[in-house]
Amino acid sequence: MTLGERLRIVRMRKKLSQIDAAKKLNISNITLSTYERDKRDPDTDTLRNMCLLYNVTADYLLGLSDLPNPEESNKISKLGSIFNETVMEIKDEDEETIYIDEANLDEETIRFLKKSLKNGMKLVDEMKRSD
Amino acid sequence: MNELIYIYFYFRSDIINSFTYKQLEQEILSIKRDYNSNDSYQLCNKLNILIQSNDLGTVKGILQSYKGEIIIHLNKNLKHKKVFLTYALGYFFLKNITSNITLLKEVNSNEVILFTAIFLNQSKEDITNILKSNQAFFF
Repeated sequence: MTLGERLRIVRMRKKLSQIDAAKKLNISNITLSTYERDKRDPDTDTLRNMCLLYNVTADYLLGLSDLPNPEESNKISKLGSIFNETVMEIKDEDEETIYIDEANLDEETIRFLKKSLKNGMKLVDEMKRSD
Repeated sequence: MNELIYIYFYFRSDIINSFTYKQLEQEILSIKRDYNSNDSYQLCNKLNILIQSNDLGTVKGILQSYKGEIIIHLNKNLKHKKVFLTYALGYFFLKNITSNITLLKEVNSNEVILFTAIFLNQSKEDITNILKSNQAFFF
């Protein structure tokens, strides 16, 4: 995903309209819109202010991290796994190992999920190799 | 104490931290306009979100992020895949993603259901019925 796409998504996740976010960032909403449409890139000061406003890391906005705020994710994922929609992280260093919170999932579903997630990872790896 | 605060916000976030109908409508209009797309499959394509259809057992969908790429897995046995894809897309746009893997086991976010309904130009009731009645697999 591009910087602009990530900027739009993190703003929406913060439930800020373009106008409200632009006000807080001290820029015009037209400027913010050009950033979110990838017509222009923000300067480093604005990028820093965006990280603070949206509570995300610059690494995430620049596509260097998959999680918007790894530190917060650590705290929340422990709780989230108790509920419905969150599971644990993929660890993919030397070997493809997927850790899933197995609460309320039957064995067959866990097997299907692991297979699908591994296929997803393979697909991305193949795409990156062919780029 | 911090954990209690997180638990509180986890339960309340959908209520106290949501777009209004009008705001959500505006955001969706602007997404459709900027990506020149009214179709959720096409929008995923333009956002470089990969879509996979596999047997996921009792799970309806998964959001997976890996090496900067986003993959939406849909249970191949779902009857209304486009509605679920739009729900997954809405989830991705609106919810704080705190893990590389997010399982969509239940359809329980009012805001995301509303996103789906507005995006597909359907009533919230119809979309809620479709999303909640769909079985993950056929018996």
